[in-house]
Amino acid sequence: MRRVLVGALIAIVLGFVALHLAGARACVGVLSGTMPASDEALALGLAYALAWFAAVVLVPIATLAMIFDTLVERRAWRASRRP
Amino acid sequence: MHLLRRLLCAALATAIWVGSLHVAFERAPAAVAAPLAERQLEAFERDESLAELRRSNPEWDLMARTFAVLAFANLALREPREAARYQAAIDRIIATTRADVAAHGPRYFLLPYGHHATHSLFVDGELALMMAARGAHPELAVRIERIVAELERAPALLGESYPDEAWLFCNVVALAAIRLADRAAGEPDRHAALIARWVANARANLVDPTTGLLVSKTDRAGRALEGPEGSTIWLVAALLRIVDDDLARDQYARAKSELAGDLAGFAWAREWPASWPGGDDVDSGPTIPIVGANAGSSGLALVAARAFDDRDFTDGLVASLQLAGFPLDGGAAYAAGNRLADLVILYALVQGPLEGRA
Repeated sequence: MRRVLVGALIAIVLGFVALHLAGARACVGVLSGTMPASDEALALGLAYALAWFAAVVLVPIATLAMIFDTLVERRAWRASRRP
Repeated sequence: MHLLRRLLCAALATAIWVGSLHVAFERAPAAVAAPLAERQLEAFERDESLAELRRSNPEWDLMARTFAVLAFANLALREPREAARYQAAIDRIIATTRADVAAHGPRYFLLPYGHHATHSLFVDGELALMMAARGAHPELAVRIERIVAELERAPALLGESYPDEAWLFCNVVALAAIRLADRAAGEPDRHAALIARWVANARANLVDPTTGLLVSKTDRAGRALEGPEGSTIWLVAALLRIVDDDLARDQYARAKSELAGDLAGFAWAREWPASWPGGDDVDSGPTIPIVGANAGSSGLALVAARAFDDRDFTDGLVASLQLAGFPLDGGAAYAAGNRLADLVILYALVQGPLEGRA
């Protein structure tokens, strides 16, 4: 389960980086109601916005949560191993 | 047990990250303004087209020019060494706008439903405000008197922007133009009586009874057609500081109470109060559900926050801008908006000297 989550988080970050390198950041004007130049620009803009917020908000929270969970799990395991 | 542990870890991670995220997006207002100013000055010096704005709404073309002039007028006062450059850009904008109106009439800057209008306070007021911000223009006095005559003729002291539509935004822009023109002429109280009557009428007849906020649109007789709208009231409150400080402060306090939101160092503004079920239009832009954060209202809220030196609200709005505005080229533009939004932000951050404040 954890591997699946880590894989998903890495995919989000890579997806964001790919969109950024493709110049999709310049397409997010759709968020202000500005008419997009094309349907492709609209799709890129929306995808970039979603990827950005996922990368900036969701990924760090999920990463921190996994770290905390791992630490707690290890601490509990060590405690169970003590005589 | 595992599930509970994971939920608690997720809650702790959320609290830590959300609580500290704003630190990464805090910026000093001057640092945000500088790249915007340079980019926009160069754009107007190159006569960069505003056609992209016109495709969405021809009103945005005129508003972009107005906010550019207001921003450049303030920057000329803040940066005397660059004043000549800013003033040259202002003169170019005013000349081009006069030419466009002379060639096409006010409809050039109006939505299609206003194309049969023979006059528009939206156009007249913004052009007069540009000239008043420049401080001197051969046509300024005539344009001011024309606006004054229109207001005096109107049954409710409200000039029309479209046939039988009076926008408070446009009327306050016109009043600000009158006051700035009077100051520039050395007669600051020349139209004080008209302004006092306008303010008295606004307090008595143009206020939403639930929120106490000025409505955004009326008919020519002064009957409300739309309620208090964020993308209108913030700028109205800010410009009212030039016209009537008491009403301005009252409206800003009410707008903050009804429209402002904040969370963990980020701030935003709603388009409509909870008591007024309005929808988004082309000027307000989209709204993020649940929190009700609206792009147009939030951008103009920054104008008001700075006008009233509300530092906490300013800092929160700037942080939100950095998070959700998608700055490009080191902050020279914001991808989530458009050139009008960039100019509104620039004006918000550099206003003060022109309006008679520090």
